[in-house]
Amino acid sequence: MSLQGPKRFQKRSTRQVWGRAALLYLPLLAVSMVATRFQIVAPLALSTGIQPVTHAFLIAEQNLTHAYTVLVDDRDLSRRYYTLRQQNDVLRQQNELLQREVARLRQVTQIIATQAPTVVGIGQVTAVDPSPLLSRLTINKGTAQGLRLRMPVTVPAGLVGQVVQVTSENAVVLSLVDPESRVGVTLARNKGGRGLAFGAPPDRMKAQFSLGVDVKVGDELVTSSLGGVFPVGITVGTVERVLPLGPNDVNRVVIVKPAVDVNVVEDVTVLGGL
Amino acid sequence: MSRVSSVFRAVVYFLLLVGLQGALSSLLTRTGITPPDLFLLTGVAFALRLRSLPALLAGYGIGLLQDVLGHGLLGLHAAGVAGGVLVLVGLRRFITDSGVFQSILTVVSAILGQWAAFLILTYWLRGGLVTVDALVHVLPWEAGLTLIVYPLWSRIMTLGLGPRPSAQDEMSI
Repeated sequence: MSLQGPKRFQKRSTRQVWGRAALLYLPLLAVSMVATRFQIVAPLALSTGIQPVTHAFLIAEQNLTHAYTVLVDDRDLSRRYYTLRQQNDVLRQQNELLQREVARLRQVTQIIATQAPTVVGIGQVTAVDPSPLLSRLTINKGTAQGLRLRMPVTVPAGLVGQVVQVTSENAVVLSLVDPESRVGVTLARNKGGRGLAFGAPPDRMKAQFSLGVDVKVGDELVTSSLGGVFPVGITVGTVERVLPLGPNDVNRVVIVKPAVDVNVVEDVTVLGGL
Repeated sequence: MSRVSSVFRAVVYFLLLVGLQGALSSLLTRTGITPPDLFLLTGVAFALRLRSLPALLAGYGIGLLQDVLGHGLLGLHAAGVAGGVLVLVGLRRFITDSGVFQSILTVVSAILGQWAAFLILTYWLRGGLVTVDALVHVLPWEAGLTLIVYPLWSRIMTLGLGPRPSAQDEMSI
């Protein structure tokens, strides 16, 4: 009996096995060489049967790709939406500021056209005197912007008052309804008459006219040249009531409703002094 | 495992092979990535389960199936897969059925055998198949992805084609 055991357990069989395999591979390789040389392509009918399977897998792959794309796009969209919203908020703010600026510039243009050409600047009301007996506004313009004492302050609707205090960056405006306010007035549309309007807090004025002036309820009052402070022709207010004459009265007194409600103005225009 | 059950599993495995290879090719090719070669891994499964000659023929057949389904040059992938099987037939006695190193050795050997066959055919056809571009862009992706999917796919192959024979069985191959 051979001590080497059956042949298949001997190391040589590996080489034999591989050798036999290599010998079989050579003709197979030759077949491939011929087939590729002549570019033989399998007929389509051979793969037709398997098409439903490949089609199903392709649809699944397309759905997966689409789902991934949608997910990624959604994430991108979300980020872009957030960015655009932020930009939109900034633009809204800028738009708001620009609109205010445009409104102010329109105001200036209107005042130059209708009241006086000497506009010094536009200021924003930053504080209102809380006292019910006084009516003064603080604006954010001062000597640095060219403001001086006694400069008239108006809005397109009419006269607001005049500057009574001024610092480098701020100014105090005495409104028409302040008890210290004095404005020379006349009837609008050249009806004539010269009067003097005093502030009558909280929100009215009293105007005194000579007895010869025919002033009635509803008459519009504008600034006159009296006092030399205000340009002529700026709307002051409307006669609301004519007080009855007393036995010793030498002047006719009327109650005037101001054309401008100083409690709601935000932007005011300061005119150059006469 | 009954014969009917074995045949059924094999059929399901081949349908899965065809469908997945097509889906992976469609998914990855559009991004410039070469998909893993599942047909080559099937040839590897044959090389590790069958005797040398049947394994070689089966590998050639699987490659031929790949050519038919891909509507490419008939015989190209057949020679490639059979080349991979041939290399593995020589090395399989040294390859166990588990372990990272064994997996790497198996896949790398099969790919080397396949691309050696491609190179022979490229020389035979006077160029056009294996180019420098293919070696730089196609081969690394194919080798890397095939290596990555091998552990999972070998489990699927075990379910579909049956387990790898034991060492005792292998010695009689």
